[in-house]
Amino acid sequence: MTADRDFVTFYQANHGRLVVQLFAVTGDLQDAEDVVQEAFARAYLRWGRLSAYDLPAAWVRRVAFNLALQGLRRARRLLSVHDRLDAAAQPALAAEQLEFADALRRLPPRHRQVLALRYLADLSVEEIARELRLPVGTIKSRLARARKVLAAQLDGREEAPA
Amino acid sequence: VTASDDDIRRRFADLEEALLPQVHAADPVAVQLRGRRLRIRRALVVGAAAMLLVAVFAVVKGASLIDYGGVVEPISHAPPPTPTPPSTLPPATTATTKAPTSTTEAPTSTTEAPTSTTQALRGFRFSVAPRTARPGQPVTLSGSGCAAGSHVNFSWVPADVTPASVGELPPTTARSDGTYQTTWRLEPGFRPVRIAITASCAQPKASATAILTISR
Repeated sequence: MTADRDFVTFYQANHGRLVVQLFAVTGDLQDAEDVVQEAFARAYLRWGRLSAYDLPAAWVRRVAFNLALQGLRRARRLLSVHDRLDAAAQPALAAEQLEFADALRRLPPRHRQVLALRYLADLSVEEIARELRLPVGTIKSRLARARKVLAAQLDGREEAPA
Repeated sequence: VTASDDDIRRRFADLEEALLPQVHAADPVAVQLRGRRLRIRRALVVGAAAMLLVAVFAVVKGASLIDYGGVVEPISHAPPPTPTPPSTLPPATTATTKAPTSTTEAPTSTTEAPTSTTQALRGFRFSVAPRTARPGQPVTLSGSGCAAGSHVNFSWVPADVTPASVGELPPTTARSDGTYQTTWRLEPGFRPVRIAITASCAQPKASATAILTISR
């Protein structure tokens, strides 16, 4: 029962922020909530082991990212980009926030992922590299490229993503 | 153009601030329930996989007609032999009990005929020694259960290749006690492969197979 209480506390403390991080990747609030919930369910499945981790939230985030990226790949096969953008559930956002969310959606998923980890999860480049199991140099170049494309999107210029 | 770190950070912070109140958090109990369902599903999948493995293993073991130990019983689809009546029973008793049902038992007697042949064939044995040999090395093919002076033919096929090409070996003749033995020197050009060697006895008609592994 203590383990269950611990899990509920962990869930309540991390759920909201993880959904926002996943929204940056999926571009759809409902999808983000679904993948985060599924990731928490999988965490509960192995909570005995996970609760001993330093950062169990990082495990949940990684699972949720994987689910989201798998979902995006499936969705890409089924829908064109425009169909997908139209179908994305739009949360109530101010004009500037909507413009930013749209610009994010136009980035490749791997760019959205590093931006979410950097600016929403507040991870350092080294921590992102560890979490994604990629070299630090790859993360640095991916971040730089993502920032450049995002800036171009916000300026109203189309920049081809790498 | 590269958006500054601070500018992007500010925009992300704004987005987070706007989104957080809109996030719908499912009841943790529902999440735990989903976790328990996943646990049950995983246990079912693991159980089903284990059962499938056991079933495949049983089928493979049951379907194998070849004893990889090198000595095999002859292959026969005849029914198992019926137990012989106790010797204490007088023959007259058997005759009187069987007489009224002779018409119904007629087919039984015909099906029992191959059984006796099988029983005779059960004495036929064949083995290869050693079970693993290198090209150029001699192997001994031996066995028992042939009629004295009967020809024993040998052939081999690659055990793991389909379709298999058949190789013939020189025949031999069974000794007066029904045993037979010959030596086969493996050609130096043999590739490492497992081969199934079959010995066939002309009298009584019987055959058996043993596996020889040719190593490097």
